Amino acid sequence: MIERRKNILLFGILILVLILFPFLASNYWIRLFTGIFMYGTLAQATNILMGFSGLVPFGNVVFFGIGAYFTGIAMLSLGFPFFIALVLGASACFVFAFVVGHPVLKLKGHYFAIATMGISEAIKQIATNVKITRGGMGLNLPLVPLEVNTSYLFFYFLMFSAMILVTIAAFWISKNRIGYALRAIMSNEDGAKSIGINTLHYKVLAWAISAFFTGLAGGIFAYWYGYIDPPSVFDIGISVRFIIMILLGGAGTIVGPLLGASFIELLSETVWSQFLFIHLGVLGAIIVLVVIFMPKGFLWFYRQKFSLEALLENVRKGKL
Amino acid sequence: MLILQVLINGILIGGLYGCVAVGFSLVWGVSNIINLSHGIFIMLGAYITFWLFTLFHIDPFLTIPISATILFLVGYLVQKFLLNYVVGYTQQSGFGVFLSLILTFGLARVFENLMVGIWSGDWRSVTTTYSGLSLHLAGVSIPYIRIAVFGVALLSAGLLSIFLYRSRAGMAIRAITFNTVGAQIVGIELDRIYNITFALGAALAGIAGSLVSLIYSFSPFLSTPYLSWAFVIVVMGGLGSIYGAIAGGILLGIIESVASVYVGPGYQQAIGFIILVLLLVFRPQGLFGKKFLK
Amino acid sequence: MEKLTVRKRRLLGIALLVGMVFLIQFITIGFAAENEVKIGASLSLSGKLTREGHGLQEGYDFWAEWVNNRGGITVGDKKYKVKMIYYDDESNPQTSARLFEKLITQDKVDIILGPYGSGIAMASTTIAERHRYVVILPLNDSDELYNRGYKYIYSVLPIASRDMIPMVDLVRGQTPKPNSIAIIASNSPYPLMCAKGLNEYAKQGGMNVVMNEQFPEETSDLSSLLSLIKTKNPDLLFETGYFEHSVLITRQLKDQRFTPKALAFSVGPQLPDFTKSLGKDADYTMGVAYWHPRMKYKDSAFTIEQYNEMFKRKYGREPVYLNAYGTAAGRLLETALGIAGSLNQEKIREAMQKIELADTIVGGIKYDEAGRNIWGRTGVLQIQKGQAEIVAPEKAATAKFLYPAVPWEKR
Repeated sequence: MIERRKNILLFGILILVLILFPFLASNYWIRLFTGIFMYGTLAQATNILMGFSGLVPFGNVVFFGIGAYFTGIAMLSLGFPFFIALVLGASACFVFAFVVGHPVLKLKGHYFAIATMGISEAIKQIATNVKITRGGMGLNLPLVPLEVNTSYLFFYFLMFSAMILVTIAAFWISKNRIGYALRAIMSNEDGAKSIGINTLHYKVLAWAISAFFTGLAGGIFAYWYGYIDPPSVFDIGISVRFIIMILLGGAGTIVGPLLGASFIELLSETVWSQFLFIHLGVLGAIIVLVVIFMPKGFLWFYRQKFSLEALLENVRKGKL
Repeated sequence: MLILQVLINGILIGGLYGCVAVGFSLVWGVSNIINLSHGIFIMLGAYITFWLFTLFHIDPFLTIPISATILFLVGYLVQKFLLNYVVGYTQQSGFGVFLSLILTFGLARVFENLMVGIWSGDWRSVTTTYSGLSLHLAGVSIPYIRIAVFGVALLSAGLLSIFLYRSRAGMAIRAITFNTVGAQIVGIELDRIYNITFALGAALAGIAGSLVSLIYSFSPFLSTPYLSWAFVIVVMGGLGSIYGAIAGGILLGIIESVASVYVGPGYQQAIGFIILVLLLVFRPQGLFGKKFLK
Repeated sequence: MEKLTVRKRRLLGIALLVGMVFLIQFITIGFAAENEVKIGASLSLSGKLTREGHGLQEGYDFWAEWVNNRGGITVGDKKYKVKMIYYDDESNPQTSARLFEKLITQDKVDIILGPYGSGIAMASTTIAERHRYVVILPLNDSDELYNRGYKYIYSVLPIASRDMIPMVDLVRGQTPKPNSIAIIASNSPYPLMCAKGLNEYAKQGGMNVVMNEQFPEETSDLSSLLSLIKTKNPDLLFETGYFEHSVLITRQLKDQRFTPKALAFSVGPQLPDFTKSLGKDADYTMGVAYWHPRMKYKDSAFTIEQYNEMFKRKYGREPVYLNAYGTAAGRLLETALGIAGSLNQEKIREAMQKIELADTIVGGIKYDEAGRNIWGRTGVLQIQKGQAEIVAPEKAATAKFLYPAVPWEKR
């Protein structure tokens, strides 16, 4: 009980700090944290499907791209104001996932993962060749009508809100029927079906919700950076990145993905500034180590009280 | 005649595509490991051929066995000292299955970085004295190199097939795909089989890479398209089937070739992925594979 | 008692981690040394545009060393040493944007010199514009960049859509007069703009454009597209794209045994690697002459010949256009800072608008309100017997244009 209250207090303090932070920090730090919030949102969104049901949507970046392009096109070609375009984009992602999900989520494990990758690549190619997206030229969104410093704050709080929203959604799902169904699917899908759970329906719903929030992040990103092109916003590397964040932090937990996002983003930034030429390799090496020693994530490691034995136990467990 | 030329282009390049996919399909079908380092292994094979040719003037086709051997060793080590520590999770439910995938992704980045650091990101290619020569028949141009590449690709697949069906190690590998538990009861050590399988997959990637260096320019950053082709072909041809990989490769080659001319060059790649998704939804066992329940 | 030490350990661990990260961050914040001008450049030092990024870096470094050997840049009444700060954008637009932000907000550089790659430039200049930072773009001339109404970006190259026009003029004057042209473009901003300008100009002149297609930038195989072009048998085949496309297309055209009367690439023949990779097959091919070591330009301090010598001494080989434009950008900056008399962005911007340089190592420089270099001109080069020769404009020419091209099999 006391533990619980302490956690809530800590949490509240953290939120307060994050709200006050941008007013005291330089633009560089604000931008860094906005990026962390974006990946936090992405990781949490995919956690909704992956963390509870064990399905890994490697192509989930497709919603990032669809959200980005929808927002951009709605603003440019249809003249919609940003917020409306943003919600439109996120909703389009929801609908797309809902529709495509019905056939695709009948697939199991690896096949679902690959199907999502195929969809993402196919959409990327289409976006590169279709007139409305300006194809390979890329899309230039209208300049943000705010003074520079204000725009930094604007995007900081926008991404922060998105991250809070998706975390609330993840929390709510974990406690309600959807979460229950997903967990049942993870341990034994056929068993779940036999007790009357409409597994397809719940999987599709979870995917669509994760698509919505991924698209939301994408739309904000488009306005934030001001220029998007297909290879950047449909980049599978982004998906892999946030999936690793989920894994690193602890899939299926609420705090895990956010932790993972913070860690990888901060580490990335640090390694970048120092180790210009080997940052890719260093990140790769970290991924390899995490998978071997901490496949349940950092949060799990924390709960194990950082014991070395637990790490080695993982190595043993991983063997046949 | 355009259509004939287009078909021939497609078939010949399809052989290479098939070679790219065979190793990938083998590892996935046998060990249930999706090797995202496959693309970078191919690049490694290409570099081996490139350097042997550029520094020692060895004919590229003669470097193929060398490239295969080096990659065999690399693959063996990777499986033995890295992948074998996560394969235990593939038997469990949940996303344990993806750990090997993520590990190979991280590994690929490490290799990529090493290669760029040592050999720079510059584009390389292998140009021999016979590089530009082609056969001309009935108004169609058939470059000799492409014929040779096609031949080597098929030969490699054939050799692999013989190994799998005629040697003891090969039979052990096949045994575990049919019945993992049964095979172990008979005394086949799973992790040693995994070592050999992955090593074979890497060796095939090496061969594919050597062939790639003859036809295309390459750099460490160019590993992704090969990986994408491997995915599409494996699904098309069916997991674990060698004939499926080759047939799927040739089919993909033809489809891409035809699409680039009759639909538009931009859609060349999109077509492959659209087919991938459609196949997964309607016929996941591909054209020749067995239906996998996992 | 047990729990306390464990919890302490936990907290200590977290605090240490966080502390380390922050510490490293602070170490990297640049502290301005006295009398130093910090110049930021985010370039492709890895990824598919590595070669071009390195070329630009060499050009910048050459200039920085050269100007520092003379005491530095004169701004107002003081001399400042130049300090270059480089970051690797991994040939990725979003990374480039982030790095620009880092250069501006964390490193607090005084000026930014541009990257290579049109998509990259599109993304990163948006950031600079937002912060009202002047950016000099030596090699980004895609029209779209300058059609956005941005006020702080300046190109050194002339506009992309005009790059291939001198080639069209050149071939039109030949006999037999070419009538048909096939245009193919790599699907990214600069090549698309280049092709667009080319297409319009060719049509205006009454040429029959038999094909105007785009191919994926990442492609490794164009055999079938080229087979299709062969059936249409155009007199000319002009491609806009990047280096590797030019080599690929030449090889695959030879495979198909199709030799257009004239073959031209926007990027390719200008770099020595083109002739190295293709040997005899490179002959007769045209390329846009952005700059060539045998041109007769000069600036206020050295001629191209002298530049070549100095560059060779530093790097062991002759410069290519990538290097020259990098150096030219640095020299341009010197002039601008001299006029501005201060490091204030607005003053620098005003100075750029006032610039009228008839003589630089890359030709004339003068800007319109959008930052386009209206005195810039490209020429045409052609590979002859393994050497790049300038064939247009006539007064800068080192050789006569050879037309039509001899078929591959007969070489």
